[in-house]
Amino acid sequence: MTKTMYDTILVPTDGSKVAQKAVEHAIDLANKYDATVHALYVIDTDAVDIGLGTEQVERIKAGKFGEMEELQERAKKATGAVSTAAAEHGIEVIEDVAAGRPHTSIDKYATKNDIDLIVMGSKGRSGVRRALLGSVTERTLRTTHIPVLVVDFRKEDE
Amino acid sequence: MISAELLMHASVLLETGYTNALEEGFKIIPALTVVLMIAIFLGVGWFFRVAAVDELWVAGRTIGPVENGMAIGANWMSAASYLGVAALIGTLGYFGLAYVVGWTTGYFILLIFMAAQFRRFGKYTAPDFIGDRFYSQKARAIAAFTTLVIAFAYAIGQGSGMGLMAEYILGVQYEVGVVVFMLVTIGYVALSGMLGTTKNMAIQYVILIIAFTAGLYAVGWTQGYSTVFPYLEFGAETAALSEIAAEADRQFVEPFAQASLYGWVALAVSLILGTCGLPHVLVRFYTVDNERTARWSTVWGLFFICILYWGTAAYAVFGGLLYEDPVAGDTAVTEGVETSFMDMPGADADALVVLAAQLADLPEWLVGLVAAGAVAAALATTAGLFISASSAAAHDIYTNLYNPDATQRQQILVGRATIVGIGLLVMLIALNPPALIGELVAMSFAIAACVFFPVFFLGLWWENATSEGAIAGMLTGIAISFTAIINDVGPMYVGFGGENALSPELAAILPGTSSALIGVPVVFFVIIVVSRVTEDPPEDIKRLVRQCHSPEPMTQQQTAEDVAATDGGQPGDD
Amino acid sequence: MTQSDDSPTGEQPVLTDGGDAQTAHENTDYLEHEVNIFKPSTPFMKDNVRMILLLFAAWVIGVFGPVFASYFAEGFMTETTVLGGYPLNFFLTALISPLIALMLAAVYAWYRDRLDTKYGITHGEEAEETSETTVSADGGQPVSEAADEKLDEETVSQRGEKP
Repeated sequence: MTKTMYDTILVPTDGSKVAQKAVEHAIDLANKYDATVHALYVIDTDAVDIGLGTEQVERIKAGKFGEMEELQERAKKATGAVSTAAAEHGIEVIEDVAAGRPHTSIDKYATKNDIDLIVMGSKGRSGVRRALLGSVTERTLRTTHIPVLVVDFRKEDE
Repeated sequence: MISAELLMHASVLLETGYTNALEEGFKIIPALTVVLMIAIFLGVGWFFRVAAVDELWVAGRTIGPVENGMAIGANWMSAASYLGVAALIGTLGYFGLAYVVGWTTGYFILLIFMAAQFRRFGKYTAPDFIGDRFYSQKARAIAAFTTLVIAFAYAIGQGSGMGLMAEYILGVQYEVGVVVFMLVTIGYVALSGMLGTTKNMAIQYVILIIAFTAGLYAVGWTQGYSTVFPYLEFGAETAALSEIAAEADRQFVEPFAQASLYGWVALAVSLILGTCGLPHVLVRFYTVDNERTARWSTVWGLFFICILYWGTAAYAVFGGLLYEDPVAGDTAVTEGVETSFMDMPGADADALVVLAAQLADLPEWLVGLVAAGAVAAALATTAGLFISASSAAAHDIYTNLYNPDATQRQQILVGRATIVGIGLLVMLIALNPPALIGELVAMSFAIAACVFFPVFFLGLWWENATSEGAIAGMLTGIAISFTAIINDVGPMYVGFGGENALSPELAAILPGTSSALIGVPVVFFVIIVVSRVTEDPPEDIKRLVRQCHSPEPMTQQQTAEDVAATDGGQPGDD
Repeated sequence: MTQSDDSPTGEQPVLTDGGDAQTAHENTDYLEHEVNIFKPSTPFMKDNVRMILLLFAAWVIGVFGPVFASYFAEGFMTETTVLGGYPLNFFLTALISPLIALMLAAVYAWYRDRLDTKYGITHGEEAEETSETTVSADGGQPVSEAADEKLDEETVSQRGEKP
């Protein structure tokens, strides 16, 4: 089998509709390139800090994630959705979960697993909102050296 | 009991032109000290934030009981402990000691009744615990609301401390100081958080205890009060101060001059039970590996807290002596505005710890160190409270009750918005606080004692406590504690009632700071009675409670729910 | 061996002498015994609660003793001085009460350690227990440890399935 450009594709997902759109593109590409798909849910430690308290971030960093079922469930649900969508096309998905700052974790994971292409969704905000809220996709784009395909999610897609 | 007298004196002083004893004017070294302290905390938080998570599933470095004990100590090191307690002892004499007793000895109760059990339950936040233990979203909502109120009241006290210290360090007016420091705090927490890691808090403790104790030793040494161990050496000074007070017809060591036996006991009990009911105290135990560490952390924590608290009475005595007869500077007493140190204006009282160092003519960098410590203590505590509030809003209210599919991004938004909102509200009220720092914080303790302690205790020690019982109990607790507080602070906001409470009779038996002596038994009664007449909790909830008490060690990746849901952790049948 | 599902009313397994605490602990399914602080239903709980109530009583005396003494014997308490001048009530309340609470806390923690030893409970060796029980629980009801291990295995095996 000749080596193609995209053997492994990574789809970071946060379980949202924006991510779903990206998943469609990723699956299509995986089909054409006969690639393996990795679905990654990154637990945003900033969200845990503000949403659950710094003690919980410490717990995760101390390797006690196994105790935290609710977080595990969220991850499973998000990555599971990718698997389900991919299964319809007979594509196999490797699900995984990581924790940290999303753009750094995605880059780390991609490097570690020899990912050839990252496919991410973006809400395509503009102006002030973009400046204020930033975008994981944008930061990932700037952090990683691996090719990134950004799929915009527009109002029409809802 | 609000020191209405103190507030009254404030207005008298304005007429005479005396403002306060703190030396105003921008001081560069103290300002830099504050910046340095805050920078250290932020720096440690930043490194923690960007450090990658290497292993999610495999337990890494464990946190020992001493380190966690220091974190518990830092948790307790707020403007109330650092500044407020000495202020209250200095102006209220023996009654002020109820604050010392109330804010230390409560940890023993926490240890024997709750630390280990809470650890085993293994949830995330206090409203989580309530929502799950009492299988009710309504209960969760009430708990989340109460958490917000507690954080709000507690933080007002910190804001007040910040404003006072800003007068000394930055030379700005109190109000400006409150705004400046509160904005810094809001900005930091909303944008970065992470001040509350165990390591960071251990560092905070060390820095703050050094700042606090250095001032104490220096004052004692230079004034000839004490040498190597001021805690046991200020006996003669206490006696002397007592005499000075008596000359002006005030009582310092007389036990019931400022408050009755009932008042003393009610306050101490409220603070003790509040210790066991504060949401952000119990979640500290989730960072340790097992119950044994949880227990010993509490012991060490109490030790580190005592080191601070043993010094508060000494500071009060030294401060009182210096207020009467300063080495440098003027006070309300020396200017003849008041006859006794015990009548010092509220602003001077709350700054007594720093004032003592200043009046003893200690070098500016040293006084500044003590003041900087107070600011850092207030800031760190406020950050923790704001996180407690943001998690109640983002996790318990927004995600659990309103939008179960909330993305992490939405949670961050809600959390940050809450921090900004509560921060601005706190800042607003702190501009003109209704009571002294210690009293404000004591009020939040009273709420925690009446609303949370009973449901925590019965939730863990009586498996038949039902959700109806818990809801009824919490609502009762809210009614009692809120009424007491509104009764006390109402006059300030409503315009009638004058200097006293809306209803002085009520204030005598149910002070805003001390409503738990009556409140807690009433709430216990309500919970027990309502639980008895309502249906027992489901079996899996009962097993959950039993698991919290089971001595079976939990394996690394377990919570009480895991074990209770299956066979109970026993090896398979023979 | 005694079945693990004792009746929920908490009948105790018969104790023999020598090592009985440990045996009792091993024979008790803690999830089947009611938790009620006034009716401790397992030997372990009985020991624990007894100590808790004892120390609690000591704490009440240490914490509230001085102030009540000041009420009933005010003259004595305020006029007696210790250590160079501290009025007795001031000294006891400001310095000794916190100290007593601290000492009682240490006593309780130390006692619980002893209780753990007596009942054969260890905290640091869960990892070893886990692997043993997983092995022995083969085919039986999934023990929670096994369930968690399975979750790990799933993840690992999924990652291993590369073409």
